[in-house]
Amino acid sequence: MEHMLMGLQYLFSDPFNIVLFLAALFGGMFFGAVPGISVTTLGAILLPFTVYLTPAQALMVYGVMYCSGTYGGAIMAILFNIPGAAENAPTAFDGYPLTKQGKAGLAIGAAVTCSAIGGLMSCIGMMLGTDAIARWAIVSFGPPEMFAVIFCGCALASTMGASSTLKGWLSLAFGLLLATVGADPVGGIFRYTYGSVGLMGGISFIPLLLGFFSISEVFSNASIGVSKESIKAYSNVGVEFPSLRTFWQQRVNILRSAGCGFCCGMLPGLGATLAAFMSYGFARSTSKHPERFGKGELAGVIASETGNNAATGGAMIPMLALGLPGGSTTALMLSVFLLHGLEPGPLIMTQQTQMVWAVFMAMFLANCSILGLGYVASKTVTSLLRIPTSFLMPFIFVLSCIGTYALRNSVFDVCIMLVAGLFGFLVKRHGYSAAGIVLGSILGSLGESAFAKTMQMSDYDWTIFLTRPFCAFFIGAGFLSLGIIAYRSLKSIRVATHH
Amino acid sequence: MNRQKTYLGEFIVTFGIGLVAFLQSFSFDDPIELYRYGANCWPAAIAISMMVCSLCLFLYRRYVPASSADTEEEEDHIPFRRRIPVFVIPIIFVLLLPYIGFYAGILIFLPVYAWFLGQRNIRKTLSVCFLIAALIIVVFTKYLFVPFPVGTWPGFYEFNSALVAFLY
Repeated sequence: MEHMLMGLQYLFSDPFNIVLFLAALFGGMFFGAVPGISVTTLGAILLPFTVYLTPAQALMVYGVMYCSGTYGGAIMAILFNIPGAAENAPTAFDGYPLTKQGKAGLAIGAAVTCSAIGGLMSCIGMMLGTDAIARWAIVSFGPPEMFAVIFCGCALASTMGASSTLKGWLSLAFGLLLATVGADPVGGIFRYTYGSVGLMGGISFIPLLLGFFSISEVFSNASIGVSKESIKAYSNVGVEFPSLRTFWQQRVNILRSAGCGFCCGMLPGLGATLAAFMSYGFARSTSKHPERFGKGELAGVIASETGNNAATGGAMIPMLALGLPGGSTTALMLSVFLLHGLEPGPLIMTQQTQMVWAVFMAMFLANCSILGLGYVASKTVTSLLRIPTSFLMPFIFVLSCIGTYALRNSVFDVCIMLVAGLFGFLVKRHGYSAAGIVLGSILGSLGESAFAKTMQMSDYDWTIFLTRPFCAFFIGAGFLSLGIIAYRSLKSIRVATHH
Repeated sequence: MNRQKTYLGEFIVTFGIGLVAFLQSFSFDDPIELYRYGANCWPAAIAISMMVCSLCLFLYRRYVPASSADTEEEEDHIPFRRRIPVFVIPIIFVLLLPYIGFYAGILIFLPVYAWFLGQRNIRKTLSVCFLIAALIIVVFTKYLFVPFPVGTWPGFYEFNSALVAFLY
């Protein structure tokens, strides 16, 4: 309670914090709602400018954006069958059929309420769990465990966003390779720099993030365009909250989806997307009327939105306690830590207590605000969606250029961002994973550093990975995950060749 | 046939990246006193795994019938000629940035890109783009102190410098 009050005191002691909170809330909802330009895009654009904020303010902005953005994606999924992000895809399965039945308001109302409920439940879990996990990690976590968790995270996330397993692995390997450019973490020997001064400091993750997420989406949206007619048709949608009786009937679905979302959120690299799909799958398989799913069943929207928002709190635990991002938005939060010279990990809970609790409380209030302001925001977001792509895309491109340039005042970085954008556009079209490349480029240097430290401390004895229990667990889980993925792929090959 | 060509092209690119990275890793294999594996062990291992993955992917596509995963790849029928400006204009903008400067650059880039993206009302395009540019310039130069490039080409340098002087 003392920590909660400390967090609240920080939030309300400065009016600028309240302004930032509201801006992040509406910004996250808007960017989460626009397909392609996800909350990650907004986060990537804003990242360089967080140096002007205190670490607590910067993290609060990202925490609030994360919560509101996850909900924001549901609006487009329900209204236009275009999920704002991958985690909103299951929402569209039943949300869009409800819209076609003239029940868009009911679907949005259910999404608003369940996003808030899922988010609040996961916030409570995060507040109770992070400290305990961090305290345990202080005594139990060293470089071998860090390497093992990174390996496990990479193994689990390897196929995220890719059209096939091998493409996912290739994307991740390419990201890991990008992370090796520049000086090596032990001896400071330059690698793959080709005499370029710009590459000697390594490829910064900001141009890569902006290139792969923001610029590639500018290129895709600019070359495809958005149907203005469809947006105008739904710009006057109202919000209708489901009755208390409906919620009581769905209590098991909500609780199960919240639990499932929270646990999935803790898995690095999978987070909200896995949570939404698993929650939806559970809801359908346990329903008395599974045949109604996909045809406009409100329980599907409830399960998906509760699950993906419940993942937000879960994803914060490995990020804060272990320094491991659970997805692209938490990877941006990790970037905020690095930009401010802070090291996320077990000590963060004891050394930066006020900052961490300010972020927790901001996320808690953001989820409460989703419930309160969901109505207003839904109307505003649908109105803002009328901004033509022809104005929105050049604006986002210029903002991305500024964000990259402002980092080191270097046009070279802007060129890297542009190359990453073009490359991102191509790899996404061919089914490779831009998220995998970015995750690899962020985790690569951390993984190499942890591996080198492990080898030095064990005198190059590889059995250290098997003799330490948690290390062995995560290495085993990583190999098991790779094995399952490989087995499924081989099984599908066998089925394909059989037919 | 086209699909097979695409697969071969993808294989050449991904395998080529891995192969070049692996061969280049020998250029920084100097021993490190504190670390037996040296600076090249990690990137070489990644490069090998990349080559193995790309080879497996190529063989999979070559000998296994097209699966649903392959057909999921995004395909549309917008002519490539129509798309060229979407990519070329930003590239030109970034390449010219050090010469024409940021301020003059965005005043030209924003309306030109908006026009190529389908905005045909010239008065509306110019006024909206001018407002966006003014907002960006004021916020990032006046309040966030971002030192944008002012260019080197005659005329552009004077214009950009005059604008910065006006803002301060």
